[in-house]
Amino acid sequence: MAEDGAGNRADNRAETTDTALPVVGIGASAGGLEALREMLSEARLPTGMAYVVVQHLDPNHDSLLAELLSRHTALTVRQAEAGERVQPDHVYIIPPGHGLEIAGGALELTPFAEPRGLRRPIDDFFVSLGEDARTLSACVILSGTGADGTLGLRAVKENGGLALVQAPETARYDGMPRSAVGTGLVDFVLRPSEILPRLRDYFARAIGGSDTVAGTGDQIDEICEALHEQTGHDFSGYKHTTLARRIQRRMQVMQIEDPSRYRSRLRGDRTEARALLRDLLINVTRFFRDPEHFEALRETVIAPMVAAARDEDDIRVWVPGCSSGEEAYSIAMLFAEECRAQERAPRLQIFATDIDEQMLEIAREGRYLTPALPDIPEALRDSYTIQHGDHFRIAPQLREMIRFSPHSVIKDPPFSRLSLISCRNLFIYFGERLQSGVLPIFHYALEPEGVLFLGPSESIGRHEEMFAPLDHKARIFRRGETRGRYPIELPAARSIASRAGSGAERWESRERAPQPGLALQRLAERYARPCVVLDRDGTMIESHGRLGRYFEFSAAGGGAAAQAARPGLREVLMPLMREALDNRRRVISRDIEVRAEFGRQRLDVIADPLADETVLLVFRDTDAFEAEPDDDLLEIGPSDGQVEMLEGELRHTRRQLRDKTEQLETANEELKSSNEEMMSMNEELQSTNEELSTVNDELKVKVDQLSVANDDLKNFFDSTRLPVVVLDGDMRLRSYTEAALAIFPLQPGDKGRPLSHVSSLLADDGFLDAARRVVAGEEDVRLRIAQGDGTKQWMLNVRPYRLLDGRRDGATLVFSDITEVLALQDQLGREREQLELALRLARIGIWDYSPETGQISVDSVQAELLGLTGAGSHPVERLLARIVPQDREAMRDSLETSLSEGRDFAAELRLIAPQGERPRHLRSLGRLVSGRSERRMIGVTFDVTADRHAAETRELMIREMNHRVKNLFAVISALVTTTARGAADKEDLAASLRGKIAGLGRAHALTNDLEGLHGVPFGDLVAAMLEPYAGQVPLSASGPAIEAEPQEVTPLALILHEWATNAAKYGALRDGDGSLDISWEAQGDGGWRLIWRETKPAHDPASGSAGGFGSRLVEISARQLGAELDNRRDGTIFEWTLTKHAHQPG
Amino acid sequence: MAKILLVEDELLIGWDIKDTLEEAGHEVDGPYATVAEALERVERALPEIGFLDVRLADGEVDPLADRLQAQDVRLVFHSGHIRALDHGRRYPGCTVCAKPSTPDELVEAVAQQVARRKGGGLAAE
Repeated sequence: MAEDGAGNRADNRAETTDTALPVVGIGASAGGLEALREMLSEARLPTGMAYVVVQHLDPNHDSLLAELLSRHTALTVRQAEAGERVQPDHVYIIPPGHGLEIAGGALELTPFAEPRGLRRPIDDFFVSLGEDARTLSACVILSGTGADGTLGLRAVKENGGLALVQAPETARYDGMPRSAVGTGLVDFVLRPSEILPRLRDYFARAIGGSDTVAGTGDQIDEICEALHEQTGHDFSGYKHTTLARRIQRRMQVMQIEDPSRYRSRLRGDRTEARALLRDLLINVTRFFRDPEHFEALRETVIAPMVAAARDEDDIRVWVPGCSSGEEAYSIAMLFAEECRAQERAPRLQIFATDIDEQMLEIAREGRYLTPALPDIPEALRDSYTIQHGDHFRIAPQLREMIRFSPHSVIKDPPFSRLSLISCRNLFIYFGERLQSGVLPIFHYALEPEGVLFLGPSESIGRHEEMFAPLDHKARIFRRGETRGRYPIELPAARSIASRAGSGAERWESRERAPQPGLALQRLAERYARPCVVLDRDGTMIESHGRLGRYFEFSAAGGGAAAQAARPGLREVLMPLMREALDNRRRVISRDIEVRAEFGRQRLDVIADPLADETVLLVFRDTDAFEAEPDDDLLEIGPSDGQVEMLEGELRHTRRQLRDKTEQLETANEELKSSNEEMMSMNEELQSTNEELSTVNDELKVKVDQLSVANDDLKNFFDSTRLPVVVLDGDMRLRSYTEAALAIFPLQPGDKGRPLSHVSSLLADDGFLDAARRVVAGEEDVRLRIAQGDGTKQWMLNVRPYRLLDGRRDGATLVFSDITEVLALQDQLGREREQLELALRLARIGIWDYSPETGQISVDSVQAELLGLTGAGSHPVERLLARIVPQDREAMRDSLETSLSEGRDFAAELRLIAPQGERPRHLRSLGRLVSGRSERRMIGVTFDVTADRHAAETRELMIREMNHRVKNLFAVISALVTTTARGAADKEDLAASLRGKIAGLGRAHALTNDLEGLHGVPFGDLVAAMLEPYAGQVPLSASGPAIEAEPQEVTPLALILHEWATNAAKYGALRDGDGSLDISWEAQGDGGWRLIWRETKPAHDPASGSAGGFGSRLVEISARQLGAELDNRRDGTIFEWTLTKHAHQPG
Repeated sequence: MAKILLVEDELLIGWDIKDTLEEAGHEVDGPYATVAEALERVERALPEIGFLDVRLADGEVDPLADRLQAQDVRLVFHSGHIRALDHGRRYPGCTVCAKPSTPDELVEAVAQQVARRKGGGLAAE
């Protein structure tokens, strides 16, 4: 803890935490990936901590870090997003191109203000982490070059957080770890794999541990004692609460729970003692802390002080406990600005001291992080700071004004003749006793009107007699009139060995001691030889005794001793002083003659180096003063002028040298920052390179997998018989199968060529258009395409080629050979045509009945058969209405039976015919087919009218035949009885009957038309009846082609038979000397006339009468015919005439 | 002894039947070949027995048979037609002779009807 350390911000908040989440910031750069992996792979869930990884990343590349890390750790790894609240067991990775900060437990992405190379993202994040998570923060610095993280680490530590660093020897690049270790603030230096367990242990103690130390003051005293032994710094006078907290923290780090054990550890472990010292010295300081107090200081103290000072006057300021220098620089700025404003140039000296060497180092460098810049009032910023990206430096003229040196307020002698002491926020760490010891020192060190400036919560306690308040609120005090006395015994200037009693006793004894300071002062002023104290630059700091013989004090000289020295002394003064300082020995210069305007003096000059880099010069006169006579007024030797001139030149040269040095320093700094920029760019590139090489390893594995997949694909392509061509988004060939060569004569080098440049055997290039459409966004294009020579037909199916993420990049062309399919299709078409033709010719109708809808669809033939209006769908009822009622029910039943039992349907039906026509007969056959969704019955219908009519006719004819045969039998039966009545004997009867039956037989042989539509031609009938007599006598038969009706055949046959029988027995057919002429003619009224004319030289008178029976048969037959019978005899002619009139009912 | 109206369109058969029945002692009017002729005859003189062929030159004999039945004339049907038996059912009490039948069968059939006519007449009286 520093002697400045303020009301440490962390102190204002509770350091114990209840359920808060520890946040671990991890800074890494080159070589960091490896270290991160090693570190995070140790994670065992739950860790109860959140992790934020800040890596130097190339802003132009996506980082794969999250992906790479997540494979090696149980923690959830993700790239950080703005506004995200950190969760336990999550690792957040900084995204490229952004800075990262944490505020209120939430991550925020910040734009980089600095140019690339000057960015310090790790520092930035650690600063915000320290402020946000306080004691629950931890920072880890892993491999990397440069020093990023080192400043941030301090911020974490200032806020009570933990600092861990990868052991530099385990880091691939140890720049960052070494720089961090160099601060001395690091709690642990570990291998990466040891970091997580240690963090876990630490935070478990922090959260679960109790205040085991704070209670007992004795234990703290003992620890302080041990620390004093080890380090020489005594903290026993410090406030116990603060001490307890810091010691507690160290014990957590050391995993020690018992304070006495810690004390023993401290005694035997110098390193731990250093660590505890460092922790105790950590502090927070700022520029212009409590700005209104500083303003008060400027107004009431600084401005008057500058106004009162003459140019050669010294203004000496002491800032004890300066820590990293912010307070000292703040005061320096105020003075410098005031001098500038009042155009004065007093000699301003600021002594800034601290016991912490490392802090002093920072202070001397005057380099601070940019976030601190706003603390400096804007008006002062430009004049006194030089900005370098993420940090700024204090201007050189200010740095030169301040002397930073290690010094303990408690144990080292104080400065003197001070105009101002600024000691802010140091007393807050001190116990009251210690405060009481330090205030008198301040009183002594200040010149009579000197001013003391304290922190806002500090006071001068019971020392009102020493200090009177000047501005109570701003804690500004003026030194009282009380004479200053030098505190012989400094509060801590006691030997460890002699330390026995309590502090109080020690202070009491010191109060009673004589005051040798006054005597010394008197001695120096009156009795001692004259002497001066010079600082390293030869400036006179103190003087005692009468110095007029040796120095010439003038307005121009200022405090520079060499200039003030009188000739003679002037030449030796500086060499003497340097010799003394450089060699740290007393040096004497003997028998020097110093010339003044009023005389000369010989003397020895002794230079004695003092501890604080100053030199005490003692003048010892060796001779009496020799007055100069007036006439010998002034001898200015040429050598004197020469020396003065040379000295002037030297001064000039020195000034130039200093200017040049400053310029060089500036240039050097610029070079340094350029170098830093280069380094960090290199670092970023290194990180990127590591990521890339890891990615490369993974890619190698992927390449192996891909080559297997590629082999599979190649084999598929080689083995498939399907021509496939794959195109990319630019219609260029990506790949193709062997079979595709049958269409595209491709060469291996054609891959990558546009498809449109490739020749094909296809008849046209419609495939190009199809492919283009699919590439442009159509889903699935089908195309029939013929080979140019007509031997093949292809079905082209173009489908989009999709990438893994679903994007469309090209098209796949798949060709299917459909030549045979098409041929088959053609054949089927032809066969269907044939079938249709057959059906049409055979007049077979086709119907398709759906029981569900009750609709029947019919083709044109069916429609025609049924007399429907046309092909198409009709309600089945319309069809049934066409059927004769007798068949309708049968038809319906048959249909339903078929449907319910799944049998074939067969029915014969008659259609209602127009009046006077016979009904048409149709036969219909059907079969149930179970389709995809519904049952249907498909069937055919054909016209059987002709068959049915033929059958009816046949039946009719059979009946007719039956009737006629029976009738004939009846006629024969009648002939028998009739003939029997007239027959002479049996022979006569038999012969007569045989003749009649034979004649009837011949006549009936002519009547084969059973339908009775056609009669028998007269010629045929006559020829048949006269057949037995042909050739016996001349016969002639003549007449028109008229016919006898069927019912006329039997009577005509009987008549002709009787006439022939009679002619054979008595007439022209007997004896062979006659002739017979038979003729017939049609009558005008539709009747006919048959004339039978016999010519014989001598007729038997019996002819014509024909006997009883014969003539009766003829008569009956004639009546039957309804004809008139007549005969006449005229000489040789005998003639029968049979005349039939039409429409005479016979 | 009865007055018989003979209707037969095949005159040869008709005359044979006429001879047969006259020999059996009956008085035969006919043969008539058509229904029209026969109906005309019946208007003038009603027979006691109708001896009828079924199918005639001008159609079925039914109109005549109905008429005769209505006048209580006994009927004998003489037909080769298969439907002759139907007439037997349509005209109760008639006799049907298949064509061809022997003369004795015809005479017996007429005798049967004569007897029924007498029986029926007696019964009626």
